[in-house]
Parts: sequence; structure tokens; C-alpha cells
Amino acid sequence: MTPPLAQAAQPLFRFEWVADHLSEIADRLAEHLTLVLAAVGIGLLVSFGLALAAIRWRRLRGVISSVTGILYTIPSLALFALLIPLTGLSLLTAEIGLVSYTLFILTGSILDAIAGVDPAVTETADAMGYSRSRRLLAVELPLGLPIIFSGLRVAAVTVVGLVTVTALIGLGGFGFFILDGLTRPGFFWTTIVLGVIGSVGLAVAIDFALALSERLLTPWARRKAPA
Amino acid sequence: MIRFDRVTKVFAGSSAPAVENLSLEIPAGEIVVLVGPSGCGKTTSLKMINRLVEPNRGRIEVAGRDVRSVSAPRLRQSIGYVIQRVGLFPHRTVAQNIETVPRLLSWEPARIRRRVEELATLTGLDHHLLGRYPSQLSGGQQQRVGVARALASDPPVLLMDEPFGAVDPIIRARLQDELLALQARLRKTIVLVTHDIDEAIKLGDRVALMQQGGHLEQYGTPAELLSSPASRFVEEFLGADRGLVRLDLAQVGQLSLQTVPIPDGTPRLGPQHGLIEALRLILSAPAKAAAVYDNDNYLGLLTLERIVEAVLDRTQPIPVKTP
Amino acid sequence: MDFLSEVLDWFANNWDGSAGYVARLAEHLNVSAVSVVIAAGLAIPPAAWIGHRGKGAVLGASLANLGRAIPSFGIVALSLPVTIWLAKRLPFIDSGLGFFPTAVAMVALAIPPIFLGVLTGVREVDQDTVEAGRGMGLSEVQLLTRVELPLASPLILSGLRVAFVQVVATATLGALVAYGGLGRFIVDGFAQHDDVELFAGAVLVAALALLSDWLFRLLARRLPTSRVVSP
Repeated sequence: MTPPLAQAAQPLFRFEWVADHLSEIADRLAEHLTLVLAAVGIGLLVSFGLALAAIRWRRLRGVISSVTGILYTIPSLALFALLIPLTGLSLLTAEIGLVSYTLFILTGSILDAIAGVDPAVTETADAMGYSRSRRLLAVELPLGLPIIFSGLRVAAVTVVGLVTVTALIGLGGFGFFILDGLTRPGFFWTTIVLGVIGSVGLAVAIDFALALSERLLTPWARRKAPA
Repeated sequence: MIRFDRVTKVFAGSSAPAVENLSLEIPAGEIVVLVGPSGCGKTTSLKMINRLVEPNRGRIEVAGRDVRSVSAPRLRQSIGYVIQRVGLFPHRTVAQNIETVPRLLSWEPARIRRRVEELATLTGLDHHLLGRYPSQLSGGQQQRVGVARALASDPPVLLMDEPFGAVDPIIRARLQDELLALQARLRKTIVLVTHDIDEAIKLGDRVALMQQGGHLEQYGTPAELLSSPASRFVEEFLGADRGLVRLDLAQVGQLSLQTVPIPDGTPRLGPQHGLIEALRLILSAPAKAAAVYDNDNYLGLLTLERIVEAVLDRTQPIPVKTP
Repeated sequence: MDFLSEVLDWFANNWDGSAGYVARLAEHLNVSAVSVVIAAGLAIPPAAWIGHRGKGAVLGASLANLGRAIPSFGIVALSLPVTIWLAKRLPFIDSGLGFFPTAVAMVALAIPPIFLGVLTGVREVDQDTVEAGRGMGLSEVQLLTRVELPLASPLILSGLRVAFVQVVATATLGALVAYGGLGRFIVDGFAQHDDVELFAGAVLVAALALLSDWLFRLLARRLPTSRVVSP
């Protein structure tokens, strides 16, 4: 892509353009949201599996930590590019890449959450007759929700940003607008600004929604006054 | 009811066993206290009853059945467990905490609800606390919830590990009294661990004094330990004023007295009075004696000499209040 | 497999020249290092001072969240209008494209992790140690430079590590604003439907990021321990 030299002066943001393209913006918003929700949802499930494996087989902990860490450290564009010869320019490529990114954060959070439960509580849970798996579901996970949510929020916000990079493989959500602005002759700031604002706005909204969900799911954390 | 048969436990990474060759029988319907210095294996022994710790050798039986004959979760659903830090589930209300084992046992909701209310009354919990979360309760209230929760499925056995250690002495005394009152009604088999010898003597029908490695130094009624300590260790653990503790345990009416003429100005005592109270009265009396009356029946004169005789007499242990 | 042997061939044949991967690697490291150094210079002094005063918890958290919410792709693209505008007005910058916007974006993205690392590191230094130093007569600045920053070094280094890896990743996107670097292979390979170049470029970028991360961690382990041993 050879960049043009001088650009005709253009305003940073043209509202009319936005007004004219509302349905396209809505489509891209839907695409962005879908990519994020799918990635975080699948990432959470896979991370649960990894966390349970790490608890059950202590030896796996190091391996899981290293592999998820490597996936996290590899720059997103490179990760997508590594997948292309395998899975082409598809939703699958994007999702595999995005999910891989969340594993390190989410697996870590789940493990921290479970480890952070008061040992007096887990001991009495055992003593009441909870089996290991029921104890996990009934006691450790609910009590670990704050830490899990904290990890979820970080993962979700990060993924919202990463989705923009998938513009390069034909998707992108709001990233589509950013790429569009870069590839037009003379550049087009409006779509770049739109893309950034859309992505940031979505990140803030999702973060807020998660924070709200956490409050709703942990009613006991709010009542602190002694009788 | 509970039987330890040559039980040994060595934790991985230690050379010395935490509990070595422990054999002990805990009768049904009694409070047996395991007491000793920290690290003596009392808590480990307790935890082997409900298999929170698994012994390396030996066996433990509850009601004639080896504790390993059922799965650990099933075993534990029929044994109550109370610990010092209580371990209430912070994410559940008081009522939901108490319901835990009945829920695991799939009781019908109506039965569960009745049971929760029954237990709240039994343990002296205010009913309006049932909907609150543990973080909203005081320490003493949380302890009560812990006991209620342990008793929810009406288990025959109750295990308690330093249950009153975390509350202040006034509340502790009250909770101890409440436990004794509860036991008078329920007649559970209770195994209680404590490092406090006074608590052991107050609560226990039987006391097992342990040394390092779970070695049983002496196992008997509080009176037996106090009057006939089996070893130097027992003596020292009981403390120098164990004579006085014995005094408090005994009642005036259980001493043999002589029906001699009563000097003027001698105060009266009933047979149910504790000996320490009697001593206090006698020391301030003109003739250093008190007349013991059962209603209008003169039983005899209790002199200072008689009390001293009884305390010092090791061949004839002072009889203790019958439970 | 055929594909892999093609990739290996590519590595064998494309290392030299101004478009070869050695040169691109140099470009990539160049912009990364410069950006991290500038970001560190901008972030460390204020972060250290605020941390020293014991403040900034909310600021730190907000900055971290902000840094995470703004997509790096977006920052790279948005730096273009800025740098193009500046290039017109400043004589020593000849182009608003290429190195300049890439570097601007990278500095912006490197600041939050470095700031947070320094802030948290300094804040978490044992206050008893600081008090002892104050009692010995150290000035506030001396406390910072001789006591707090050294004790905070593991967290500072951790922040620098995260920043550097972030910056290596962003430099890859610089290819979209006419910079070179290793991202060039990915972007060009994509445009020309050359899967081999695409893959090879990706391998190089991934390797660089992982290597940098590893080296920083190794360096962190070499640091004298931050545990305070009371005299």
C-alpha cells in the first residue's frame, strides 16, 4: 500500500458521513459484539476446563501457564497470520486467535479465585459432606466470583480492542472503519475516529455490564453492617 | 460409640508421627474432651473420625462400623462438625447455612424449614437473623449458627474443634453453659478438642489428656484426673490449684458427715452447695463449721477439718456431681 | 510438509538487503527501543513522585483501564492526522508517515504499563523502610532514588517488559501507516496473497515478542531481591 504524499485538508470528523451510514455502523457494531461475546464465552469455558485440569493434575499447572502465556504474548496480528495458512480468512481464524488471547487471563483468574477461598469455609464444606465437585460448584466458584469477574473484565476489554485487528482478515467490527480510513487515497479521518470511538465505547459498555452483573450475582458482598 | 483402634498418622514430610497407636473408646451420649498442649495430635485425632484426615494405620469405628465402609461425604453427612473459625458460607444466609446438610440429604422443603426454626430456637438464635448474611452477625451469633448447622440433620455424633476459642471469656462461658444445656436435652456423642484444661473439666464427662504424638496420658472422668493424676505430666497440666478445682466440682451433700451438736451461730448449708462456697461460709463462721440440712433434716456438721481431709485424701476421691 | 519447506526457503533467501528481514528487524527494534525510552522518560518521573507521596491509586487504575480499552490499531491510525499536521509545520520532520506516527502511537501505548509499574512499585515499598531512611536524614529525592526505586525495581521492570512487548506488537501494525519493520511482511504477504511471506513474517514477530518477554524476565531474576532485610 503506497501512501499518497500530501492530503487534502479534511476535518477530523464529519457527522454527515455518520448520519448517512447508520445501518452499516449498526452492522459493524453487531459484528464486533458477536466476535467479543463468542471469544469471551468460549474462552471462559475453555479456561474453566484448563483450571480444573490444573487443579486435578498439579503437574499440568506449569505447562498450562506457559502455553497460555505464550499465546498471550504473541502479538495479535502475528497470531492471526500464523493461523491463516491453516484456517484461511475466516471467522474461525479470528475466533481461534481471540480465544487464545483470553486463556492466560481467565485461567489465571479462575485459579486465583478458587485458591482465594477461606480455608475454614472449604474445610467445613468438606465436613458437611460436600463431594469435591459439588464443593467447587456450590462454594468455591460463587465465592470466587469477584476475582473471576475481575479477570473477565480485563479479558473482555482487551478482546474488544483486538477485534479491530481482525479487520485485516475481512472482519473487524469497528476496526473495519479504521482500516477503511487508512486505505482510502488521502486517508479519511472520520471513519478512523468513528472506529476508535465505537471500539472504546463498546469496551466501556461491556465493562460496565460486567460490573453490574457481578453486583447482581454477589448479594452477600454488599451487606456488611454488623447486626 | 466411637472407637479408635491403634490409630497412627504420620504427615508427609515429618519424621515423627502426629498420632501414634491411639486406642480410645468414646461412649455414646457423652461429651469426651481431647485436651493437651498444642501439637499433641488432638485435632488430628478428631479429624480422623470424619476422615478429614485419613489414618495410615489402625481403624476407627463409629457405631460399630468402620468409618471407611462408606464414602467420606456420606459419612460426614451423619457427623456434625464445628470449628473455631466457624467457616460459615459467606454467600448464603443464616437459614441457608443451617439447611446445608438437610439439602444434601434431599429433605422436603417443609421439613427443612421446620427444622431450621427448631434449631434457631434450640441454639438461642433470634429468628429475624435467619435471613441475614454471616457478615452481618456478631462472633457469638456466628458460633451459634455453626452449632445449629452442625446439628441440622440430627447427627448422633458432633465433633468440635476449639469451638469457643475465638470469643471473649464472658461469651465463652455462656456458650459453654448453653452447650451443656443442649446436651442435657439431646444426649449426643460429642468429641470436643480444646487446649484449655478448665474448659475440659467443665464440659467433659470424660477427659482424654494427650501428649506429643497423640499419646494418651490419662483418660477418665474429670474427678479421676484431678484426684489421681496418672503422671507428672498430668499433674503439671492440671495445674497446682487442681485441688480447688475439685472442690468446686464436689457438693456438700456427698461428703460423709457426723451428726454432732451444732455450736451457736453456725450457718446453714444445703447438700447441693459446692464445696468452695461452703469453704467461704465456714471461714467466716464463729465455730469454723456449717450445719448441713436437707430441708429440715439435719445431715451433719461440716467442719473445716473435714473439708481439708476430703481434699487431701487421695485414696478416697471426692464424688462428683452426677450428670 | 510442502508449506513448511517453502517457509524455510523463504528464511534462507530473504535475509539481506534493505527489504530483507535482518534490516526489517533492525527497523522494528529501532522504533521499539526509541519509543520505550521516550515513554519511560515521560512516565517514570511523575509516576515515581506520585507513588512516593502515596497517592494515585485511582489514577493508576484508571490509566490501566484506559490503556486497555483503547485499541492499539486505533491509536496507530489516529496518530496519522496528528503527525501529518505536525509534519507540515515542523521543518525537521519530513513525513507524517512511516516512522513518526508509528513511534507516536507506540509511545502513547507504552506509557500506561510503565506508569502503572512505577506507581505500584513505589507505593508498595514498605513504609517502615522509608521512614527509617527519612530518619537517617535522606532527602525526599534521595529516598526516591536510593531507596524506593531500587526496591520497586521488580515491578518497574515488569512494567517495562509489558510495555516493550506491547510496543513490539504495535510496531507490527506500523506497516499499515507506511512504516517498515517486521509487520511489513505480514501486510505485504496479505496484500499479495503470499501465504509464505505472511507466515514467515508472523513467525518473526512472534519470536521477537517471545524473546523480548523472556529476556526481560531473565533480567528481573538477576535483580537483587526486593525483600527488605532489617538491619
